[in-house]
Amino acid sequence: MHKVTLAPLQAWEKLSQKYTSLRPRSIKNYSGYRRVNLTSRAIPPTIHSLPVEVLLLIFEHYINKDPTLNASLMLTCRRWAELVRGEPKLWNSVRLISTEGVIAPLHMQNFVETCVSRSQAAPLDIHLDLRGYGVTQTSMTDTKKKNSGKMIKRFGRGKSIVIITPPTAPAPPSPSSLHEAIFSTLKLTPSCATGEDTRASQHIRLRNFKLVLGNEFCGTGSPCYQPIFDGRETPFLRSIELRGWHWHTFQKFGVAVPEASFRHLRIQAPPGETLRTLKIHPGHVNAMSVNITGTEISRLSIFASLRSLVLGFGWHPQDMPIEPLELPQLEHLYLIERPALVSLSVITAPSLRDLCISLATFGFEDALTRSAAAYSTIRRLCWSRTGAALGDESYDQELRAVLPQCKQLHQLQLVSSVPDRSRALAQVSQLVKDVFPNFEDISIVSTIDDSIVQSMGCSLSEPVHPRRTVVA
Amino acid sequence: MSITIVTSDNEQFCVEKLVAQRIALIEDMVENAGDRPIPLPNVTASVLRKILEYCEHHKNDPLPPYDDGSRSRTTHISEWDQKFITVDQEMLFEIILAANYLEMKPLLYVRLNVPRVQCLTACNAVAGDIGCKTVANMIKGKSPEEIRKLFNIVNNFTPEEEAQIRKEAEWAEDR
Repeated sequence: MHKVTLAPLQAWEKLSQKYTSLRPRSIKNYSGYRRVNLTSRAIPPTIHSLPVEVLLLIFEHYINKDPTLNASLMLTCRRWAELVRGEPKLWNSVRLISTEGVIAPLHMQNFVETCVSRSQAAPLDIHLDLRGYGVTQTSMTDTKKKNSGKMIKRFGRGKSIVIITPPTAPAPPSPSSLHEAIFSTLKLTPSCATGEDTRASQHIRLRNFKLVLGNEFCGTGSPCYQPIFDGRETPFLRSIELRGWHWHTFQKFGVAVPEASFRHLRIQAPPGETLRTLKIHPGHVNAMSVNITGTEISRLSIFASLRSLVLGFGWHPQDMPIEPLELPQLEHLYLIERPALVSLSVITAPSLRDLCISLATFGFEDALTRSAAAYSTIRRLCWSRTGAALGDESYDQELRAVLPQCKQLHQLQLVSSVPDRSRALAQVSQLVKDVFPNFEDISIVSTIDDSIVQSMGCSLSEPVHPRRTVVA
Repeated sequence: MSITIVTSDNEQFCVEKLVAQRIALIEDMVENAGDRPIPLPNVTASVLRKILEYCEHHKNDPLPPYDDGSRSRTTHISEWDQKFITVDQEMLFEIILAANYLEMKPLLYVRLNVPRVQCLTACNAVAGDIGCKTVANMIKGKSPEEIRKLFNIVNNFTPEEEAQIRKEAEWAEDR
């Protein structure tokens, strides 16, 4: 049988008391030491006194994602040069923007290479605005030859790419163009790498891709980006935005996105250019948004899991054959102009909740009647009529055609530029109350509410809409 | 409720708790200190006075979003902050050093419920944003020569080293 003793406990208490009595003295001593140390500081602080992490923060603010500014920091003193060279965050933004200062084409690839290597493992943001570069084919070919052995195989960490090519180019395009030289450095896609090892690009972590194409790209560019769209090498791609001055390029693309798991696709081209086929096949369940503006697409097939769709100017389904769109998960639909509105008659969207319509002309009664079924599930309706006055006969007729169909309407937002909004509101309120006696949530705003568009998973950056001004 | 802060030169400041809690270091210390004065052995009275002026002005400000480094940095400084930070170079660096020591930025991050572990690196590294932006603005548009002159930095490159860097950064020569 063990005898219970309190000795260890007593010993512990003694020790505890001893250290408790010591602790304040040691803190006091420490503070005193620091105080003496600081108050006796003879030299006032200078930039040399700043710790490395603070200095790097200053540098980050200074370069503001423009690594070309690193040069002046590196040339200041040895310490700064070492810091700048060794800090990946100061190099992970590859920005070539013609309006902010032009790097000569001969040095461009060198600059890109420097950024790619010094950014080490940091995710890359790439922004290439090449409109200001008057690149001659000869100079780029020479550059390419010079650097052909220096392929950088680290592009598996791209975070976003924005590419804007010149709108017009005097010389016909060439396979050894500026893009190819840069992309072979970046190891973007197999077709750009021209004969080099392409395996590195299979793990590309690209999340956002924006491409604005000009003449220079005609004829040769389309296969170059295809691996991005098809998702084989871009499993993390969530957003694609395509714009083009010359839509033939996209025709050659075929813009087929068979398995991509992107969330947003935005396609924009000037009216008059025709994209013959846009096929977006069933892909990842999270693919949510398609925004098509400024194109005349004659054939469109969209995956069934789409949740948000924006159809814009130039959408002409009434003139061309269009397959009925069955979009069982579509929740947000934003239509611009009459032709887009007509598409309502071919869209079957039993889950539709938000409908935003932006129109500039009159005479939609037929289209609206034909589309009546589309309104039955709508909870929020945003109705924009540029140039139309609330209370006008035609305006009222359209609303009277739509509103009775909206059995589940919870919110109505009317957009109008009419100056006397209080009078207009009174008129419309009466109109709405004729249909829904207990309905109260009406507002009149001067323009389409950004938040509505954003809630639809889209953005309307062009044109810029002013802030919402709720009058009533 | 107020707390007492003692600076390195033994000056005592009686500060409203709401104001003092904009400073992360003090917020941490208040819990353990009870009613005892909080010593700040790395901050002098003149600097603490400036820091408290800033905290007083911004005590009701909404907290900025957590910066994970993905947003583009801006060197914009608001009008009041600009006036506040218009000090001589010595005081500017004193403020930056003090802000770094006092972990002023992390206070904002912690309150946004960003996990402590996630923000520790940033907490320890980040100094007062305005101070850093001000220094960045001072550098802006200046040549290496001018930067050296501004901050009294000695050019300690050998001619070979300088030539090497110029060669490395030849892309910058075109700008």
